[in-house]
Amino acid sequence: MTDIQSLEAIRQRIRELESIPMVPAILRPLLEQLNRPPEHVQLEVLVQLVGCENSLTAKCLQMANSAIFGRSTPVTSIRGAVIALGVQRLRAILLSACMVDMFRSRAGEMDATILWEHSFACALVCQQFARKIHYHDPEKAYLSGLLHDIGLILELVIHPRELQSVFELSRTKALPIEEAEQAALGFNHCEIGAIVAEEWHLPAHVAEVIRFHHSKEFAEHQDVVAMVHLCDTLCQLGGLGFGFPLMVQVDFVDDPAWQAVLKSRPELGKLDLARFTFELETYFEEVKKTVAILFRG
Amino acid sequence: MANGEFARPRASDPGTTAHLVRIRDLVYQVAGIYQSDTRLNFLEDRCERRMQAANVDSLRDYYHYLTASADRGRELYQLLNEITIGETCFFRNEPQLNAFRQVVIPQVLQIRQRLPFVHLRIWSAGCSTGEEPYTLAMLMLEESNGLLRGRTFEILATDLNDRSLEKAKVGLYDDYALRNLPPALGAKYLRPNGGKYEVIEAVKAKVNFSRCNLLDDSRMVFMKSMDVIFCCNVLIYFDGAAKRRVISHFYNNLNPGGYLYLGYSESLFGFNDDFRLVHFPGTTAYRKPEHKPEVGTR
Repeated sequence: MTDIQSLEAIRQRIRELESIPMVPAILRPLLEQLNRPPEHVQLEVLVQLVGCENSLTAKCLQMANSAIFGRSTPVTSIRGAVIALGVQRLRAILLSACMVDMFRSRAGEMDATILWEHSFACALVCQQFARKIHYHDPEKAYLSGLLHDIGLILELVIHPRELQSVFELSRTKALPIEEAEQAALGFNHCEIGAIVAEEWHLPAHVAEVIRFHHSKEFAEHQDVVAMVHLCDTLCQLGGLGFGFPLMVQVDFVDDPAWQAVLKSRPELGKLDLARFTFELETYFEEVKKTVAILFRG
Repeated sequence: MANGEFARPRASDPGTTAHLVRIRDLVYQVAGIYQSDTRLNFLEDRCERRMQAANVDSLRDYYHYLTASADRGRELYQLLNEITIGETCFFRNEPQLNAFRQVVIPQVLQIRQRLPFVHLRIWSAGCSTGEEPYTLAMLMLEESNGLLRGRTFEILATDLNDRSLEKAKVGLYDDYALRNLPPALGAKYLRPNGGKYEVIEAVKAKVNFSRCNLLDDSRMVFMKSMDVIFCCNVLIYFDGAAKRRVISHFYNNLNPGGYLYLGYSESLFGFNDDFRLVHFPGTTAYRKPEHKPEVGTR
């Protein structure tokens, strides 16, 4: 292995990323908004953020006008787009658009859209899963799903070649990504993600999800951690994972994460998981459209 | 409920999606086969065909026809036919077959690893004109120097329809039935015959065709020691009680740790609690637990 970096060196690299001009301009105030409870998010600030960069404005208008929302009259203003998309979705779109731009030029051989499709898929599946089991805050689940693999996205920037070989190892040995990382690099994206969460002051529950979504001790964490773990697995098996099928058999009911969620949300026991799995097809279609818009131009 | 949230039906009538979702949910509840929102246009198309035949003008009326008319049972049968029509072909469901070869067979073998002699029994229940059992035979033959080295296997293929069985035994297929078959397997296991393709003897020898009514209890109890059962687009035609009975037979027909595969987007939800739903990439199956659950733990 060549230039494998220590976690400390990775932390340094993440700090250096902040010198990219766009990051402080948009990401910083956006992260500040992320830390607020939904009812305290300032619409005006989001409108301003959308307006401060042409490509963001275009993306948001395009997204608001996409067939997903089935509007009869087109949205033509930033404010209209913000309202059509909703604060939660807009926060997610801005955050990812921002990071997509920031990482675009740096990604090496790997296709970053795969990671974003996985992230958006996990976000949407978490949100829908949360609704099915009457979880009190589906938007919290959405944001957690969106950011759970932020560590992998950072790895794509910091050491794309090493990440490529991790994916290769995972594919050929049918190893989960985090185990392939451990074997090839000596650390995994949860640890790297934890540093990102700390450096960027992400909300506490998101930080917990990022750090522990591959842990086995789900009972010790907020139930959203276990939910993200389950939805992450569903996305990988459903075809929006890391670009290759992980040939494994999963009995979700046996998963400690399932048991942990079941304990706090007995509604899970009544979930028709087969039907939910069939529904993924629809969610994935929306995801692919969203990511296509984000990555265009 | 998320249903219909992202649906984009062709018709401009805003109520169309709502009616289609009702029909979709009805079909799922009664038959156990699901049409995702991305397939609502397909469902609309199939309903329209039936509406013409049944002389019904709107989706709304068709829903009532499916639920409240004296003919509702027969009409649902016809609609299910429209939904599953043309699905029969070699390599029909690739994710299912990948999981069968790469995960299911190794799992089944692992359970038997201590036994000196291993003979696998695969059952294609409702095999129609033979595409499915021959596909399975080809896959298993491909493993004869790999996973199945030193092991033997047989494929039982049953159907209710004698004419389908006759056609299956002949093993002669046109291009359309072979559209999904990987060319390498086609070259190896088929030979041209009068403008069509015939399954070679080595494949035919692995498949044992017979007539079987899945509702015939006296016959079902003798279908013993199965490792994997494929029953695709068959249970959807049975009413709730019959479905429960057949599934319960399947459960008893399987060895512990054995698998039941259903058709694309078919589910056992609400019809059986003994099988465990297991997920593979792009597909699901039902598994009989390896160990009997203790009394009272389920």
